Amino acid sequence: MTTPSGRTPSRLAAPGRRSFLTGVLGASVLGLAACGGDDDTAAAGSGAAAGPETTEPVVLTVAWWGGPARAENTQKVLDLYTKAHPNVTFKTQWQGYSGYYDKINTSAAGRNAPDIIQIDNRALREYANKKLIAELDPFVGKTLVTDQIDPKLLGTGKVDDKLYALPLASNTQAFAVDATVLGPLNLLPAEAGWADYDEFSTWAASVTKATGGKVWGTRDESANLSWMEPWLRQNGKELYDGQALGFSEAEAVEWFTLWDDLRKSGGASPAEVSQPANSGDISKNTVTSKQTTGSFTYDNQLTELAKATDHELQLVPLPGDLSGNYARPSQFFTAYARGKNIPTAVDVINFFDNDQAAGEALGTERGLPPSKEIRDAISPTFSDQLKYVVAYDERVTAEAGPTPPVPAQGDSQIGQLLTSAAENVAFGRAQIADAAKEFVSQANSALERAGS
Amino acid sequence: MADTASRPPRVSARRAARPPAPGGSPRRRREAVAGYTFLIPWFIGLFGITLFPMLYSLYLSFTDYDLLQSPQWIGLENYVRMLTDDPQYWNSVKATLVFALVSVPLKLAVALGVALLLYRDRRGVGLYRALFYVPSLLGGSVAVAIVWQTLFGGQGAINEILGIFGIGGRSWITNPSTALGTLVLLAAWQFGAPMVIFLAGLKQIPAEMFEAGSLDGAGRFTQFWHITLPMLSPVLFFNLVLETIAGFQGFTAAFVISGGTGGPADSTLLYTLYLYLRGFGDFQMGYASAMAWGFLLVLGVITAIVFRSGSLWVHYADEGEH
Repeated sequence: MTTPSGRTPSRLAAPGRRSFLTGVLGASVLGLAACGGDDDTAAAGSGAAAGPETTEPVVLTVAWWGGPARAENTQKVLDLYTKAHPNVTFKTQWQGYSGYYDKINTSAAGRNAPDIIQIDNRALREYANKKLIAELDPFVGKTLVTDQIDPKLLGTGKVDDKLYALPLASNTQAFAVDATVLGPLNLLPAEAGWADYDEFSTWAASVTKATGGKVWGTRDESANLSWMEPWLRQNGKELYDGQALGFSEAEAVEWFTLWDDLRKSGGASPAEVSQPANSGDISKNTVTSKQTTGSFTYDNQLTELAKATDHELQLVPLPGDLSGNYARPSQFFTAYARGKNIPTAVDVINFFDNDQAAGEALGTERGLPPSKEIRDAISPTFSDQLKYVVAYDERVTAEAGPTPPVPAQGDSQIGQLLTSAAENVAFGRAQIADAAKEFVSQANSALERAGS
Repeated sequence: MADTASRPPRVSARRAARPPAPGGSPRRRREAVAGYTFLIPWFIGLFGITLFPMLYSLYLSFTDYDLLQSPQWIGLENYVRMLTDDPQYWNSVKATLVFALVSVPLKLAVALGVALLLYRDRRGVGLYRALFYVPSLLGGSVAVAIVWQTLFGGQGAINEILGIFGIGGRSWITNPSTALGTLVLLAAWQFGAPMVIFLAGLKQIPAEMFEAGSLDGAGRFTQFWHITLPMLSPVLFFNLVLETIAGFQGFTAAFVISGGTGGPADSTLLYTLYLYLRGFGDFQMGYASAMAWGFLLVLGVITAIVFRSGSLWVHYADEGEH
């Protein structure tokens, strides 16, 4: 509130109305003045003088999204690094996934982004093309050791054949189920999941029926691009074809109809229940809130989910064959191109992937360790839960399809557009055909704009 | 305060401020130089922090600017896209209009109502005034929005209370038909600032008017309608203008309650939130700047209309004396 309460009404009536108008408008403009940054395009890599072996005190800012479990593990690794290099200390910023990129973008616009930025493949192309993150090739073989990382996984951090991002871990798509609820109902799905979506729908509806409508079989995932993608792949399509959508309106209609039927049969939770998790925030997960017995997840997220519930959770593959799945870089670490000390930042990033103690601290919370050597060395120390995640991942990725190229630039907007369209359908505010049509046309023009 | 109200203060104030002799004397020039020198910090603020960024954003609105690389001139393309090729833009316009048109009158009505209850000096009235003002102190804060989110969530306190009376709750925040309503309620709840201004205004209405009114047999409602409201109209007008502008700029609550998305189904996508998402979420600062200028223009027109309407219903005490 900007009301100048110091002014008394008697004096308010006094100035001419015109000057009052000017003042008030001025006040409104103040709130609007956009943040224009100056446009210095100074070369990246300032402060490169201090290498990783420097003894000068260095403070690096590290940013990631995630929950409390990740925060704890990450802090442990950073502490390990500081122990080995007492001159390097860290400031950390972490938050939920929703709003994370806004914050990074805002700080980047102010030329003040964190030195080490966690991203996923959705932002990779954008950040690399806009030169927000530093190219890592000059460090490979020196500060950065990559030979223990599967070339396919390492390749997911490359844009136009240049390495910009180091995968911190890999994961794959899964469906988390609540065994504590489903076990006694005799509705626990088999380890291999469901043969197709019909079987899945029948299962979901019978769960809701068995719980008396108190707990739904599955969360309505129609707004979730992360599930739509493997579903498209199962149907022989891809999410993107270069800088355009890899599917058409027909598939969008089919996708919305699939979930509409699931909602109507009672198998999927109603829109009101599903909506909060549409922002991608793991703390809003409907399985841990015990509103549904199943929801989409990436396998590594089991650590965080299990921490948020007292129920036993299990992982099964998404319905249908495993060709839709792929080994996915769950997150990357990147170095801010204008960072204070890029070589040290790269050394820290390398530490996350290649140090054994770091690997032990990280477990599989972020996903499977990318370095084969580390994975083999630390697997024996894993808890049963972590071993379970590794077993699931290895079982599924063995039959999974090829990893698609880095998503198109503007990917984050496609997620928003899908969410908006799916919510409109779920809340009965739009017909499926109209929503699908608008989604596809809006998505294509957003991609075209982002790519130009 | 009471005596300045009956006589226009501006005349005396201007006369006092006016220099004794027409300018030109060396002493006066020295004074002017000193005056402007003292104003320099303010000028730096005006030009550096307000005027330059504003005009720069006008320039940006004609460009394709992604925050990280130099802006590219694209003429009117942003404005054309805004008006013809962006359904989400119109969703945000609609949400903002509904939000402002409902929350502003509601907030002013509550503020006036509470001010009427609190303006007479009774025992402990100061405490009540302070207590009613408290929500406004917390007003723009993120914490309140989070509390709101919890209160109106599917498993929140509001539903628990409704449950006691056997009313089946719903998730107010996540349903597109009620989500905006919770934001309106939050805005109306923060009525403290206009209330304080109403209180000050009410205190200036001469008590003789009410005495004369009751002698003539006017009831409380007649007194309110024919004495309080006209006498209060300049203050009401002031509050209306400020609250309208603030209402159209609502951001924090929508951002926090919708988890930064403007959802469900764009129902809480207030204009400034959409602007923010485009500018900082999608790197489309040129487009966001165009949105800001479109907004400024429309807000200016709306404010001008409110001002025009003022001549129809605002009663200035000094005008009556001519």
